[in-house]
Amino acid sequence: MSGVIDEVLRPADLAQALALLAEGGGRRRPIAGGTDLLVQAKEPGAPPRGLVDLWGLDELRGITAEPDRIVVGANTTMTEVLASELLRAEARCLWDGCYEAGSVQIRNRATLGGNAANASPAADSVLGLIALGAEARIASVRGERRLPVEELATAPRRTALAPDELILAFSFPRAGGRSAFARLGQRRAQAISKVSCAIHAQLDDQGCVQAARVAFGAVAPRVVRSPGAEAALRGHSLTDPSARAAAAVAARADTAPIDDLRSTRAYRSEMVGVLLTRLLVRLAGEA
Amino acid sequence: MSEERLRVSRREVLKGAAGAAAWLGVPAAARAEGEERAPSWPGIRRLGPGPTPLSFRLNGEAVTIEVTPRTTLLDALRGPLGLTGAKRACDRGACGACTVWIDGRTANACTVLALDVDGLAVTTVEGLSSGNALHPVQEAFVAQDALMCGFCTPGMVMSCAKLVERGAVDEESLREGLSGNLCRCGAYPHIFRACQEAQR
Repeated sequence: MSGVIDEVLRPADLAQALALLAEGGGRRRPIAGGTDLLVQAKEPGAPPRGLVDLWGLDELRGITAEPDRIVVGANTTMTEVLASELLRAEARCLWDGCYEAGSVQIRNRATLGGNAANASPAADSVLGLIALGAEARIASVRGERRLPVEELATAPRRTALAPDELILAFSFPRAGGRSAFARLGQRRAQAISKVSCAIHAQLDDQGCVQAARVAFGAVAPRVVRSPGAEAALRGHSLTDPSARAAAAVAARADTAPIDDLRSTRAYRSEMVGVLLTRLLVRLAGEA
Repeated sequence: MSEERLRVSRREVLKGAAGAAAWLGVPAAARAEGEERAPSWPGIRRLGPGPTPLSFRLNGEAVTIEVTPRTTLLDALRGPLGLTGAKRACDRGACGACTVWIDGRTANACTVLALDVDGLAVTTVEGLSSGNALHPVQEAFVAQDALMCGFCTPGMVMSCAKLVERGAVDEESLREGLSGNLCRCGAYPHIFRACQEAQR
């Protein structure tokens, strides 16, 4: 029984959804697959809320390849991401994040927009979006704006979205390069990540890193980038041991893990370096 | 860029083309209406508070019941609809004991609002067999002794039947595909064998 839901509003299109959110004055929340929201709703003490049900809005679903960018609708499920050869080929860190997240049942319902808007510091699909340099397309009745995905979450369960705003889609450049994602949890499947890492790297002809974007999950109040690790990798070969070591050290300095029910600060801090190193090995084609 | 990738890209472009139009901007209708007045758009369905009619196809038959907005699909199935095959264990989407199919895809009924299946097709374990004729996966579960306490079995069978349907019964696919269905008795080796037998 989800004790805090007193009204479900089902819009027929995006315009209606935005109007319903605006009309709600902060008392309404969008719901897509509900895999996170309905778990939260069962916790005691939350205020009553109306839900604006986005599940039927197919206009927010789908994966579009533009010449320079890939656009993924916010309602796209993780299962739909996994069915996309395009994303597997060009957005492997996002694809892998969805592959490692939850279970079949959860991935059939969980959407990329929901995972991002839920603002969990451990959100598996968010790391890949950040590593790919994705921006979120956000709309309300007041208009539309764009925000880098790394600025979407501000703290656990807090976002930069106004109560009347909705994520429409994520869009990232088709930059080429290589990317990967890895995570550690209590077990391979289903468990929420203790630590996770995604990387996207552009390489030059010599195999040196021209630019890299590195993201970590569950080691800060939100999914974060590591500018230190990115700088440490720039100009170096993926196989360069000293660059790898420097990136690992910098990544530890850029993250601030805590002790909680899932893991410890010490373990997480150690694994930040280990996961990044594993991904560099994977990107270099050594494993 | 490879041929394969180009080919796939074009297909995805076609698939996503209709949706893409909506992302180019906020529809004019939404921008024109202010926040002051409550819009009365045709098409918006306001469900609740209080009991609300819900109609969907359950195991092939049309059903209509009344539920409150907060009712989960699992509560609706086990309560007013009287189908107790889907089990409530964790009630938070972690164990898979309540696995059903919604429009042919597995879902945890405990984390889906009942109102969310309005107009859709739901299949529970009760709908898997036809009369006394068991589904091949159910037959294989019996033959392979693929259960001990049996509490996970209804949800397990629903996930297994989808994997068998897809032909995904190699060890890796089964491990991955059943990772959302917990069997605390540890009957997995027998469950895996049952899926492979059902496939044959």
